[in-house]
Amino acid sequence: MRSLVLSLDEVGAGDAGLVGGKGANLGELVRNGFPVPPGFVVCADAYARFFEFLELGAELLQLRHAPPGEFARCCSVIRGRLESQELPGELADLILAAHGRLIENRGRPIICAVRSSATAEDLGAASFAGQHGTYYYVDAAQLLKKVRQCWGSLWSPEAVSYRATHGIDHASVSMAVVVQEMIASEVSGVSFTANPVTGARDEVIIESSWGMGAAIVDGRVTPDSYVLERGDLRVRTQRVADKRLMVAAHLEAGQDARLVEVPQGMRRRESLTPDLLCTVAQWSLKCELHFGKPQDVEWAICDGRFYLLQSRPITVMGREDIGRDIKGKYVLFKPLVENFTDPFTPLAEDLIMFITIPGLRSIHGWLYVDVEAVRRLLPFKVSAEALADHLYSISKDVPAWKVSISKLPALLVLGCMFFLVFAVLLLRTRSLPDDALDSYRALCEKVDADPSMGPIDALVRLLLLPKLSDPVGNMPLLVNLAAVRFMSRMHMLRRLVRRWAPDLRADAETILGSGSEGVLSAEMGRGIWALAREANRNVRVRGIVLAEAPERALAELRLTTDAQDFLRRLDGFLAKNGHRAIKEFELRSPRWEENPAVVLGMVRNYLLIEAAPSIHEKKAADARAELIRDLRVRLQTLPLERAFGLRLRLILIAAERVRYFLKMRENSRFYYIMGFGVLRKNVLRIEAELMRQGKLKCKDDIFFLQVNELTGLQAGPLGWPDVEDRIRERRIRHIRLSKTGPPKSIGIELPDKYAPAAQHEGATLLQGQAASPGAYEGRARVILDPSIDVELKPGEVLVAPYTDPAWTPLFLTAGAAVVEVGSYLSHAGTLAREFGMPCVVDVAEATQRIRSGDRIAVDGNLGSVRILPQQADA
Amino acid sequence: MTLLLQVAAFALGTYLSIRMIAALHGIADFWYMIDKAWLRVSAGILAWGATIGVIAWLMDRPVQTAFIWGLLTYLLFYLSLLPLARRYVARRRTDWRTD
Repeated sequence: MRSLVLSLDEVGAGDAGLVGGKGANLGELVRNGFPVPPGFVVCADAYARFFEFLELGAELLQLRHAPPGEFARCCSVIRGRLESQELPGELADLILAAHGRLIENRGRPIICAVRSSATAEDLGAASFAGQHGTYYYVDAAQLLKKVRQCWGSLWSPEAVSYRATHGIDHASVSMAVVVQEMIASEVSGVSFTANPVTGARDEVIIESSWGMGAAIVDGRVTPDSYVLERGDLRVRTQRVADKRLMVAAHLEAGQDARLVEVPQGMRRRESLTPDLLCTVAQWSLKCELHFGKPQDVEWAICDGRFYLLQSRPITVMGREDIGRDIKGKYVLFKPLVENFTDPFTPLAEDLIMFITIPGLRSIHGWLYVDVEAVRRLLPFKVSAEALADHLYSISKDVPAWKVSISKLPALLVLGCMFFLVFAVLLLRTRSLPDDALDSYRALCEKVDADPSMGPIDALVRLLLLPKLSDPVGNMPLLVNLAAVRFMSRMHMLRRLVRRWAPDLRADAETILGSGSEGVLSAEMGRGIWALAREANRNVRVRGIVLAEAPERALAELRLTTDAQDFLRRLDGFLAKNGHRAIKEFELRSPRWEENPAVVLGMVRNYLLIEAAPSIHEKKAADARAELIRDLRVRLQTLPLERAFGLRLRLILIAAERVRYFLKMRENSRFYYIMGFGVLRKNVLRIEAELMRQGKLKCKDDIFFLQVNELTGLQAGPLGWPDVEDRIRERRIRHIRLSKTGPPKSIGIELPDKYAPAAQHEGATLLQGQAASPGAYEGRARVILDPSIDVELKPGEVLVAPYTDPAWTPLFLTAGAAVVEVGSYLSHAGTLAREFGMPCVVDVAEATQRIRSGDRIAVDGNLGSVRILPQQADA
Repeated sequence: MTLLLQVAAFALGTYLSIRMIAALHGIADFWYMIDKAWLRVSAGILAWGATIGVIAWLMDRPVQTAFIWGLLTYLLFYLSLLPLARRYVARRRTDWRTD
């Protein structure tokens, strides 16, 4: 009976069959002198005996043959028995005795982490990530229950179907449970002895934050991030995050949640001193040396002492692994990804999929276009690869595909149906005034004020189905759809210009099609600029905004009498634009009205630069006027043009149509994002209620539920224990996927031009997509978050992961822009064309391959970026 | 020949029905600024209404009937779109719950 519970120092690497992979790994570390917190393992044999004791053979047989509808019930029967029945006395005594020894050695009561260590976790490709239970803050009274719950987690529907998918026999799987003292850490984190995203072996990545580590692993907090040189442990890059939340080690009196706010003074302070950073890196590298391969290490610092919590091989989930099990051919839907590369949270994904058009599919939270479905609908003879390339690049060029005669009749019928359904809409949206969708704001307020509406009702009302008495309901989305016509108008403009003035500058259509008045996002930019001017008027306000972090500055401004005019203006700005946000398609993203500090951050960016946006606007307007003059001169050589000017008039009409539809596209987005804001408020109200009822424990967890789970929690059948593991698993998966980013295509190869990097004439060549013409050479400045890293010197090249309106001020000083995602139509491209600077988008891994200070050459005509060798500096 | 004319009249009726419905939508679309837009909206309705009236009046009986059928068919088709969309959304919501 003794071998059913073993101390960690009694097990080693070869005992995985007895104590599971995690237990064996920890034992190996303890035996080799690594500073692992003390603990013991309840062996897999104990689970086997308990399973036998419960006589679950019949239930297991039933599960093996269960039809899909009965599957979940069969799982819950086994799980329920494991979790509810008391352990046999002898086994319970052994576990409690081992726990007693831990307390005895410590000399005071302790809290423990109880973690599953399944024997099947060693099975090659099967990772079982997040499927098995882990419980923190367990005291003696809860210990046996949590051990049983760990065993029960082996029979969750997710774990069972995962085993079935990977051909693992249920009867062959067993589970040990690791019980370990929890370290009340002041700082904790994870480190990787190789870059888990790029695979670079010369880097050590360390992420750290205040408090206990669980919140970092499942993404509840954004940690500080350090990249160290492997050789001399010199810090290569570091990013100090705004650490708003931490998991407290101890519950204070009257406190019922461990996730607490970080005190103001600590938020932007580095969580690791240089000495501790070095200690963490050294221990991580020792782990790698011991295990012989790159390690993913979880650690904690308590009273200045380093503790190793876990070390396992890095499971590099490359982009190419994502969607490997998906059949079909898919290419990334860039209009959404260009705003942010993270996947949607499950709740946002569910709601977005409800309103998307057929032919789109969500894969791991990213939207993809079904290439074969689109190919079937097109009247062209085109290969899936060529179509995928065109769908992915979203360029202004129209491909020269041959028409397929055999497809024409069916498509004619389909085209007629499309025309009949949408003809009225197309006519209605031909010449809408700029404020045509203003009444949508009133509808949003009405829906927001109606407590009887759930998120789906609100979604349907605000974005899908109008009422006869309130027809604006679905107009923003419909207008957005109808505005796609700008593509055909742009094509027409291009043909007219190239026919009559073939030698006109290459970007003539782009210049003619830009410069609309009344674009709401541009007005928003001007609004922020006006706020900056207001702040500039008062030395005290300017000082506060520049000197303090945005949250702190806002708090201080509210207490300052001099700042009242500025605050009134800020409130006015938020009344109009408060529904906008960074990553605004994601429901989890706080809106500006919830956190005005983000706007203050943008105001600060404007204060740091001298140039006003109007200078760039004037520059672009002058270029347009010059181009029209040039065009007129060229056209006048053609017959009758001098007398009637018909050709010029036609070109200007086509250009006006392009500008109009581009404006409608941008403005309609302004409004349907307003609808998303109402949905978020609705979800937050439900979250507050569920947290009050104890059905949810942590802010933001609600976004990791699916809609049917949310309704299940509201209606009653589901409770916190049912969703706890799912939320944790999804959070972990979400953070992993966010780091990886989406693969550009699934099930189909895109051309080599999208390859990440190549050596070319001594420089590293990164290929992307041309978004704004021109060539520029200068120093790179990698900026990951516009609210934190804002030191962009005039003339530097902005290198960014994505851009949205929050990035606008940085474009005013940049010499050129390089962005990891995006298309010709993305925010970066549009803004760069307006400001007349070269821009290349869709440059894979640009923020990782280019380092701040690198000298780079940006070619906005070819869509390429060259990282120049160091000697070129001279 | 008559059949051909009738088909053409039906298509014309459908097209003018689309124009008329779009013009009528102007009332709802511009209701928030109807004090400024009433002239534009009513001009649209009157122009397309008059066009329909004049064309129908000029047509011979069998062609006129086809023209009116074109008008009414599209109107009915258009009016059925919203209930159809409602049913589609309701079905998707049901599928969601049973997932």
